[in-house]
Amino acid sequence: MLVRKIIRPEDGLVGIVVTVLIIGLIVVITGILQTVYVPQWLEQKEADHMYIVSYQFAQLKNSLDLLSVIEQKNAISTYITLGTSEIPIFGTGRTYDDLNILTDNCDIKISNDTDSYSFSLGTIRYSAENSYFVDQSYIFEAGALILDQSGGNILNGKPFFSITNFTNVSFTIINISSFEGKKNAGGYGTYSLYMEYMDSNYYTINDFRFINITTDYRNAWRIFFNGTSLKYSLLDYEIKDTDFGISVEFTGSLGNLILKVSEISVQIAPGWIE
Amino acid sequence: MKRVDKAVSESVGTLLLLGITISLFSVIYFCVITIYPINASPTVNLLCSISENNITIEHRGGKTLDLDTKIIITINGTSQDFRIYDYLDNESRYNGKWNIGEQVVYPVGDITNKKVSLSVIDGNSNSVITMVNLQE
Repeated sequence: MLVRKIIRPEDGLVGIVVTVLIIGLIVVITGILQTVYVPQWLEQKEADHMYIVSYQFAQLKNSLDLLSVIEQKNAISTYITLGTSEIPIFGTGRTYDDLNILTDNCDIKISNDTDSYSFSLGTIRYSAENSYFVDQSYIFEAGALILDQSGGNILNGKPFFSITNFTNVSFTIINISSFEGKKNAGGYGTYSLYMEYMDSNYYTINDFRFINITTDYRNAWRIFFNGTSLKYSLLDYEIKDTDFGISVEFTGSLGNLILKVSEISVQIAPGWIE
Repeated sequence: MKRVDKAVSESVGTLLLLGITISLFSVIYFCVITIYPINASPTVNLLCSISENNITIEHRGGKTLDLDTKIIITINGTSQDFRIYDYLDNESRYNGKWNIGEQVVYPVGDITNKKVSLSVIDGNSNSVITMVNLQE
């Protein structure tokens, strides 16, 4: 006997609705993660990386200061981490940073009424290329460690500057030199900086009247001079902005300055040049 | 003779699956609608210090903060609060944000031998950014 099965049009409707809703759920959850949580995770990851670089640059300054202080033919290596890795599963968020040794990037000129001493200094600059967190740069310039970001810059570490007998100033600056091909690194990974002490020279400048600094980081250097013991000395001075930096002008009774300029050779990346 | 409860478990199972899916979808949808404009606590470095009867809070890098960021200072258990805007200098107020290098100096008075703590509250995320004991 032939049994005819009648297929009703709503058969299987529930299964289709459930499937559509489950797919919808997956899409919604993925959407929430991608648009709300992933940017927050990445921003936090980039901020954490900035803290790591901040610590690494503090070690870098510490090493350069040590080499300058001991004045012996020695070398120290430190490490800087460039970029952040992507987050698992989503595979997004990798960033790439730059590390450069810039030659003749900062000028310091100290003068009295008769003589003028100019020093063109090399600097180390790290630049973050963040996707979510604010872009920051760490700069080692003439012995100062500077943090720069959009909106301004601050001093994180200062060069040696002291005053004796109320008017005699000792000031130490560090000149960074390098070799062609060893000045730049960019991308993702941990890169070493090989630092080798080269030489130190001392200059005595009597009755100095000006300290001019050509720099992109006026605020940091202003903080430096305002934070030194200059304000407790017998020297009268005024800090002014110039076209390319800042100038400290001394008036009234003048002092003597002993300037130490240490030269340290820095190389980025493996394959060191002797 | 046909029994009337034939395939009833299949129907109940389908209904349950449908119910669970719809309720789960509704919960997720509700979560999306309510949490979408979520504001995470800003990552910022603030340096707090006391000198000469002033409390100084300096922005040391990271995200810029709104001028209505709230500071709560507690001295020996008594709290007082103010907005960043109230104690920022005019130059720093100009761009409408509390940015790197800018300082808030709050004249707190004589706090010798007093316990002083400080909290910084971000209004956007309604979260505590910094909580420090400045003086024990």
